[in-house]
Amino acid sequence: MKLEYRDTREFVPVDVDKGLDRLTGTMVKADAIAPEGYTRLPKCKFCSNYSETDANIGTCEASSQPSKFMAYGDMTAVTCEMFNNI
Amino acid sequence: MAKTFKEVMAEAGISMDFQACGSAPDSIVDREIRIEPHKRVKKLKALFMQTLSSANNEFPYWYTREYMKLDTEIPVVRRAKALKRAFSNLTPVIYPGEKLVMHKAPYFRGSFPMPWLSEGFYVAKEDELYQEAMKRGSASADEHSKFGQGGGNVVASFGKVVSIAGKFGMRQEEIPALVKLAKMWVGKSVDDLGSKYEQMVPNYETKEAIMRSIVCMFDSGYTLPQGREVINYYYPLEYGFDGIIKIAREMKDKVAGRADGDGMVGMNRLYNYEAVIHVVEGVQNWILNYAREARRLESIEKDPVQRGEYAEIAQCLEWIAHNPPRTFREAFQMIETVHLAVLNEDAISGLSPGRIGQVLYPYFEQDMAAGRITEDEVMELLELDRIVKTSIDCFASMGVVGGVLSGNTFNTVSIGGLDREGKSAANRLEYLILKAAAANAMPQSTIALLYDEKLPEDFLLLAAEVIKTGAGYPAFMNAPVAQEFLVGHYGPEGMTVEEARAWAIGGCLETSACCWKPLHLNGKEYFIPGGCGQPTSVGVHFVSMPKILELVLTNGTDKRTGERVFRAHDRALDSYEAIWEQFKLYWQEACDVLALTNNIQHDVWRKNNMGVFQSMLKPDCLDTGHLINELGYRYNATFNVESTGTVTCVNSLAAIKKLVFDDKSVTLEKLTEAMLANFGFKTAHEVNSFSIADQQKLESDTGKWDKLHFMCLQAPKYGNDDPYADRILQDWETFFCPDCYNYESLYGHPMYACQISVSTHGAMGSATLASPDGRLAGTTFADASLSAYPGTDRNGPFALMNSAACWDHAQSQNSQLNIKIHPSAIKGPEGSRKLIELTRAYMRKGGFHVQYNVVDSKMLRDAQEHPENYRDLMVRVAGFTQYWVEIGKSVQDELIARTEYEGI
Repeated sequence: MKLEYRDTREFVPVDVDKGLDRLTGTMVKADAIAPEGYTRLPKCKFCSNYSETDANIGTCEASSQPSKFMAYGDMTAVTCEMFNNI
Repeated sequence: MAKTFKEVMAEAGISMDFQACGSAPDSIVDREIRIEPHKRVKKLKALFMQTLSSANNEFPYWYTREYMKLDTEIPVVRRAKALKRAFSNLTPVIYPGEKLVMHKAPYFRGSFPMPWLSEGFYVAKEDELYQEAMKRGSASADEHSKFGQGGGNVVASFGKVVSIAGKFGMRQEEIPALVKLAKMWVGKSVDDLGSKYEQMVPNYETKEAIMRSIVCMFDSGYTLPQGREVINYYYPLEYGFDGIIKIAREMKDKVAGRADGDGMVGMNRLYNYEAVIHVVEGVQNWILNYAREARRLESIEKDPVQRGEYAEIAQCLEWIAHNPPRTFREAFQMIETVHLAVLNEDAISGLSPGRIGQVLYPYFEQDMAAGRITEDEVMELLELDRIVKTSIDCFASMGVVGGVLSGNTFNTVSIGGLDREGKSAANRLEYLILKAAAANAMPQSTIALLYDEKLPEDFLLLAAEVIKTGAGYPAFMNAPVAQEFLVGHYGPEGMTVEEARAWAIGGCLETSACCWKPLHLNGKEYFIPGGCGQPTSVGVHFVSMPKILELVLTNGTDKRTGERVFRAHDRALDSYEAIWEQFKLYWQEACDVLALTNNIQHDVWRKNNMGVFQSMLKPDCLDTGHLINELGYRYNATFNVESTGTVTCVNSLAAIKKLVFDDKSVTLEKLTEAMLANFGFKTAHEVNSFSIADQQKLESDTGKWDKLHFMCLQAPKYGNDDPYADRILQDWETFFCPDCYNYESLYGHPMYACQISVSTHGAMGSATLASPDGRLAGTTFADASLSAYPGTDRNGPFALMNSAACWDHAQSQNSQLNIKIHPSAIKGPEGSRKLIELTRAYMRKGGFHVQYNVVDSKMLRDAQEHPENYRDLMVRVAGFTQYWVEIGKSVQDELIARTEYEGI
């Protein structure tokens, strides 16, 4: 599966446009394709609790609110205890 | 092309290129002193230089999710739990080479919106939310504010990056969430609720008109509710976070169900302590998430040195998440973490670390004695700290971040001053702070040197050497004058002379109340200073004196917009005294309505958005159980009235007095007509330059106003030790400083005078017609409160200082004097001594503040033409230093135009 750098754990986000490849130390574009074998970063869009309703926006089925709270696929979820990798 | 102002002046025999007190070489002269930072610092600084200001939704997402879930909870606990959730879910990012870790958001220069404060200004322009926000008077400031077009500012969208408010970049993928989160706060934010209730203030329409005409340009309640204050690191250093939670739990047992004689808010103490526990636990989770990330990196890192550093980072974080720090490194990381935590809790500009050289000294002293650290290692940490501080951005509107702040967040460090007993407080660590600031010259932390005659001479000379790097710091602040102000103003709240000595600068140059607390380390007791006063960034900010004078002459109508601002005074302005009296009446009307509406905004803020973590840090909240919103701070009389354009207004009044009433060489009507006609010139906006020298004559100009314009320009000017103009400044100060005490803050205390302009002299000048002193429409005002108007101080720096010191500075929280000096004027050790003698002379006259921009104006002109060659050029703007390329054009033009002294 091809991943953009910004969807990998090897990417260190410097800013919205670019970051460091932790393995090579080089500056790379955030949305460039990462080399094969890079690890997928936990994000809402990779979580089974995320249900997308429109482009880049949806709901979190794990939320405890009576009406499920919104979520967005691009949010990093490394600290989310509800993250469930798909 | 039409003639420029400079050419017109040259034809009249008046050179705009005069050299003051000496002559400068024809070629560009660079700064005399340049020092290299440590290798690690250099690498991270290079990374910073490539970094764009970036924002995301992580913190507001988790905050909003938790907050909306808890709608039946007690407000302070609800907020605390929302903060805990947000801190606990922030993504940790550690960059290779870092030693001091943690960032506001998961970018090197990250920030995020706080829709619970204000949600309208940053959504797409076509969105109805944005349109609604723009209808409010406060939005006018955005139209007159511009960010610098370079550096880390994302001034335009590109690729999948969307530019927000002309500065912040956000990924396109996050925009739908940004808008959705914003809409959840419609009608609930401080901005919206404040707007609803402030409209109930009688004369509210005047407030809106004032904001639309840029008579005032800053509503602090929902933009930056806190700031220009000194943080206090004492409790985490003395007790650690587990210790603080223990104290809060014990206090809960003592106060639960008890009013203890306070029927209004005595019972609130239980909820407040509960809130403190939640927020501190959130911050602990945040630290531990970073520790886990460091451990993860340690486990995968192949380079043994870097692997070891990740392990050290993890150990440090794992310890300070629970315990008081034991070493200099742990203490430094602790204060760094605490600082960032406060900045994440609320939108703040001017959260100053204060006298960190004295706060960290116990750890420095003991580590050095035990051989646990070397001065070189300390220097490296101090240099790294400058990258951390310069990376701090604050997400707010263009009018606030651009127009007022020039993108700076004012994390000012103070050095020097006196200790509790009245001896010099300068210590060895503060020498290293100065050296690190020279080695890693970056805008933050800027340095405030609290000047006292007792400070060692070599300390002052070292400060002069640092100034000669061109960094613009340290600035000199007069400690005895500040202490006199503090005892006078905060005396009713219990301020003593001993406690006044703990003061430091909050923000760029706001005298801030601090206190001493006993820190214990390995059985030894040290008294360390730290903030214990509320924000001073609040109150009536900023009021344009030249615009008020303009409205006096136009009978209350803004001729630029055609809108009525004040009720027509309809009085005969047949004497100078009549003008002065009407000026004071309009001034008071503006201050009165702005104080009332501002109080409502801050009252809304304190009900739902009170600072919990920041409050816990400041004495005496943890002792009393009351947070900032219940007067838990030791000093609460911190709201103030802030002026802009003092010298432009003084010069204008001097011109009116001289030409119209003393010499009777022109009528007031004719002078006003000339102002409205901009003396035959185009406006600054048409010319796209905000410096008077570049202004161009109208093609159709017949020279009708030339003679009068020259008379205005030749009228007495402040800054020349001329009693004619200086008397007007004295009259202003004699009125202004006591008048502030007529306005009461929501906390029931009188306000006081604050006299800095930050960058508002650019934005406010942009909205002001030509003035009687000969300044042209749309051009900047004189900067600061006591700097001379560019080119008008012709008698040298000592004459300027005599003018500046003609009134009692201890009546005011501050005053501000900026001086631009050519590098050749203070060359070598002799030049350093001259600089200190000049400063000492001013301090002895009672001047509160002076700072020096050591730069060749030719370099600034070249940098404006070729910004690509000057990414790291720094200049002193007002009370802060900023990268040239990140400053808006109006302030750049003004910096070029300032009088440059070729000799002193």
